[in-house]
Amino acid sequence: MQNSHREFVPLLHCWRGTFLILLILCISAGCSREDVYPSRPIELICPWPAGGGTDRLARQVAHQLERELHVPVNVINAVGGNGVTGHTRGALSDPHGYAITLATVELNMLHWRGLTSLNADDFLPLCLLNRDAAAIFVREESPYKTIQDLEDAIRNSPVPMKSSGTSQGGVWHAAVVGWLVEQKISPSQVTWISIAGSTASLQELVAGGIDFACCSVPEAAALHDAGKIRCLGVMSESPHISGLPTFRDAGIPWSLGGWRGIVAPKSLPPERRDRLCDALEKICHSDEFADFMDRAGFDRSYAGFSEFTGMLKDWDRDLGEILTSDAFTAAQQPRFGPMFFPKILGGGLLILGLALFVTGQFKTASGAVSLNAAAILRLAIVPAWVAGYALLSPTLGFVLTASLLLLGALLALRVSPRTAVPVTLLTVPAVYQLFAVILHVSLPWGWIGW
Amino acid sequence: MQESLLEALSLTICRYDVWLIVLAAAIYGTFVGAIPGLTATMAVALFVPMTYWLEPIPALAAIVSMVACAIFAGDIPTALLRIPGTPASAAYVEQTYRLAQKGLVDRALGMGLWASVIGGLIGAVVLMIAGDQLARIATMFSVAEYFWLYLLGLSCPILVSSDSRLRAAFALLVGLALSTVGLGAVHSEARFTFGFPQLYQGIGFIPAMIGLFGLSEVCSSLARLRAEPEGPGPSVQRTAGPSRRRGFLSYAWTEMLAPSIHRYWRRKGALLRSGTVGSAIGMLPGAGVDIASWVSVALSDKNAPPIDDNDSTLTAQDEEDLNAISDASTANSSALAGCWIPSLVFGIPGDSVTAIVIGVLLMKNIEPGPAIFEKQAPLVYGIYLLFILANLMLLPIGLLAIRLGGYIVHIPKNVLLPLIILFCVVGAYAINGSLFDVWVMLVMGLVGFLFDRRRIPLGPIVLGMILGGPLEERFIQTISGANGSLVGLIERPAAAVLGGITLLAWVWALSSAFIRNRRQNHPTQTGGEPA
Repeated sequence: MQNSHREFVPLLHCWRGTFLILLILCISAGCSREDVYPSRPIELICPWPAGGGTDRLARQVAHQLERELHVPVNVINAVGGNGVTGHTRGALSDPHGYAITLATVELNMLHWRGLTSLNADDFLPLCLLNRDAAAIFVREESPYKTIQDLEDAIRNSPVPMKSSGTSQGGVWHAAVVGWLVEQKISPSQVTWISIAGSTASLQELVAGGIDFACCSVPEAAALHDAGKIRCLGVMSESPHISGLPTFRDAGIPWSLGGWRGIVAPKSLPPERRDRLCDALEKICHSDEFADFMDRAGFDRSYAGFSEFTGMLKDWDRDLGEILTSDAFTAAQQPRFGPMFFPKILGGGLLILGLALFVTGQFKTASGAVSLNAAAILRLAIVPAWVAGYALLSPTLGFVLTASLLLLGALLALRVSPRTAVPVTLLTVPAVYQLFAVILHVSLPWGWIGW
Repeated sequence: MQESLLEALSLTICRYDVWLIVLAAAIYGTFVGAIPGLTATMAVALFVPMTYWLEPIPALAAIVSMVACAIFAGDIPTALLRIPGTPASAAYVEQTYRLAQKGLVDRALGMGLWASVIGGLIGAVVLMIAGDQLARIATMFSVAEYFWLYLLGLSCPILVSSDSRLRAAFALLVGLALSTVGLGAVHSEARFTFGFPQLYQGIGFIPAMIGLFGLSEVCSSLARLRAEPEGPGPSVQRTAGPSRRRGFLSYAWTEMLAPSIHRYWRRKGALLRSGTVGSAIGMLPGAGVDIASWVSVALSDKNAPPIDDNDSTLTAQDEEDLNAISDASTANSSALAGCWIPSLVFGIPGDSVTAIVIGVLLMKNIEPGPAIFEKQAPLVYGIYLLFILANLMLLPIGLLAIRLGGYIVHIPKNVLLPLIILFCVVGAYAINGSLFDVWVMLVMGLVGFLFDRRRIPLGPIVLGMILGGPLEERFIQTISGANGSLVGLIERPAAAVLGGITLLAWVWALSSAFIRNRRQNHPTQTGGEPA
C-alpha cells in the first residue's frame, strides 16, 4: 500500500499545471455581473414528480425559456404533500426572479382544505399555460354507455359506487362531487378511493377495482386510444373536445378543470416581471410550443399577467364553494384515521426494541471500534461539515463554502497543506462544473453568484 | 413480421449514429448512476430536452442505454464507498461492500456487471416473446393485489437476514415509521411534521440512503482512522490490480469476467429464476426495479455448494455474497425491460423512467397502446433490438468504469473521507435542491452509524421508507373500497393467492428460525458454524 501512496503524490503534482487552467475556466463560467437580469441559472419549481404531465410541460417551458433568456433554466421537482411542498417553496423563494414556479390548480384548493395558509394571493401570476377539463371514464366492458346511464346507476345503487382519479380532496374529486350535487344526487352514493395520481387510478379502473374514474382527457389518452376505457363526458361548456361527448351535449350545466401556469414570488420587481412575461408570451405563441401542446394533448389557453390574476380569483372562489360545502365535507369520512398506522408501528417498535434489549442484541457489537476521545473528535468533523454547509452555503454559495469546509477537514485530518490546497482547488470547481454546468443540477447560490 | 424486423434492423443496428448515441448515453448513464444521489430517473429527466432534436429511435436508444448503465453503475460507489449509487443497489450493499473489504472488489463488480448484462438480455427476450400477454396480467392488479405484493416485498429483508431476524425486523419498522412522516395520499392531514413545511413531502429516501450508508461509513472510518499523518490505508483493497505487464484486458478477463461467467453457468437455475422474477415484478406498474432486487436476494439460495472448487480464497460467506449479487443484478436489469411492457402496451408507466419515456413517445406523435404493435411494428422491434444493443454496450463501458473507479482506492484515506462527505452533501442536495435534505442526510448518517455499531442492518430501513407509504395507501384504499371490511383484502382471487404466498413465506421464515434456534441450543447436531 506504500506504493499506491507514492504513486498518488506525483500524480497530484502533475495536476498542478492543469488545475490552474481548470480553475480559470470554472470561474469564468460561473462568475458574472448581477446588474443584467437574468445573469445566472433560473430554477423552475415543479410541484409534481418527474415523468408526469406537469413535469413534461415544465421541461418544455424550461427548454424554450433557456433560449429566450440565454441562461440555463433548471427544473426542480419539489414533490409531495399534494403540491404543498412545491408551491410553498415557490412562494418562499427570494423574489429576485431566479426562482419561478409552475403552479397548478391545487394552489386554489389546498388552503380551502386547511392544508396550508398559502393561496394565490401569495404569488405574482405571470402567465396561464393550459386548462384541462375533467372527464368521466369507465371500463370498456362497463354497461354504462352514456353519462345518464351512470347517473341512474349511482342514484339507484344499493351500495355506494367506487370512484377515483386523485387523492381525497383533489381537483377531480371536487369535480365529481360538484357534478353530483348539480344533478341532485347525494354525494354519499359515491365512495372516493384516495389514489394518488391519475395513472394509478386508471390502472385501478382497468383492473376493476373502481366503477368509474375522473381525470383530464390527456391523462387518459393512452388507455382511451388503446380501447381499454370509454369516455362518458367531458366537464366542459364547449360542444366537443377532441371528438368526445361533453356535459353540455348531455345538458348538464357543470364544468370544471385544472389549470397550469407560471407564477413568481409576490414582490418580484416589475422590470423583471415584464422580462419574464415577455419571454413567456413569446414562448406561448411559438409554433414549437403549440406543436408540443397539441402532441401531448394539452389544451392551450394562454392568458397574460393581468387576465390570469383575475381568473385566479374567480377559480379560487368557485373551488372554495365546492370544497367548503356540506356535501363535500360529508363525503370525507376517513375509515382509518391518520394515526392508525403509526400506532401499529409504534407498538411493533416498542415490542421489538424490548425483545432486542432483553435478548442482549441491542449492545454494541464486539467488533466495533472503541470510541476514545480522539476518535470522537475526528467523528465531530462529519456533523460540523454537514451543518456548516447547510448553514453557510445559502449566503456564501457552493464554491466558497465547500472549499472552506473541505480544506478545513483535510487539515484537521493532518493532510499536509501541500496536498490539501491543490485537492480543494481542483475538486470543488470540478464538482461545481459537473453539477451546475454540465448536469444542470442546481447548487446553492451565494451573494457572489457562485 | 419479417419485414418489420428487417426495417427495425435498418433503423437501429445498421445506423452508425444510433451506435454513437448508445455509446454516448452509456457513458453518461454510467457517470450519473455512479454519482450518489443522482438516480437513473434523474439521468433520463435531465436528458429529456435533448430528445426534442432526436428522432424516436435514437431518443429511445439513448434512454434504454443510459438507464441500463446507470443501474449497473450504482454498484460502483456501493462497492468502493458503501454509498448505493441508485436505490436498486440498496438490497445488496452489505454483500458488495463485505467482498470489497476483503480485496474482492473487482470480483464483486465483475459479477454485478456480467449479471446486469445477462439480466438485461433476459429482460429483452421476455419483452420480445411475451410482452403482449404479460401486459394483460399486469392490468389485472388492483390495489388489493398491490397491498400483498408490497407486504411480500417488505418481508424480504427479514426472510433474507442471515444474521438476526429480530434486528432486521426492528430496522424495517424504523423505516416504516419514518415513512409515515408527511402528508400521505390517503389522509387529509399531515403527520409528524413539527411545523416544518419541508416535511410535508415526507423524509426523502435518497438523502436518507446516502446518509445511512455513505455518511455512516465515513463516521466509522473516521473513528478507525489511525492518528498518523497522511497514513495510507484505503478501506477497499485490491488483490493484485492490473499491472503494466499484464494489461487491463487480460486482467479484466481472468479476474472479473471469467469467474463470473463460470459461476453464472453453474447456477443456470438461479439465473432463470432471477430473470423471471425481475421481468415479472418490473412489468407491474409501481413495483419496479428496487423491489425486484430485494425479492431476488431473498430467493437467493443460502448454503449453496461452492462454485470455485479450485479457488480456496473464497469462504462460504463470499460465495453466498457473490450469489446474492449475481441474482439481484440479474433481476434488476431484467426488470428494466419489464417496466416497458405495460408502458408500450397500455401507456401505463411501469416506473418513473418509463413515465418519462411515454412523454417522449407522445411528443414524437407515437401513442403507446396495443395499436403500436400494428401501426409502429418496426419501432417496437427496434426497441427490442436497442435493449440488446445497450446491454452489449454495457459490458465494455462497465469494465472501463470499474477500472476508473478503482483509482479511488489509491487515494489516502484522510484525503478521501472529506471528499466523500462533499459528495454525500452534494448528492443529498441534488435530488430536490433542498438544504433540508442535507440535514436529513446528516441525522440519518448518525443514526446509521449507531445502528451499524449495534449490527442492526440498514438496508431494511431504506426498503421500509420506500414501501411504507404505498403499503399504507393500498391498505386504506382496499378497505375503504370494501366499505371498511377486512374481507376486501382477499376478496379477489388474485389477491387471495398473493396473500396466501405472503402467509406461507412468513410460516416458512418462522419455522426455519425455530429450527435454527433449536440447532443453536444443541450445537452438537451441526458443525456449530456461526451464521
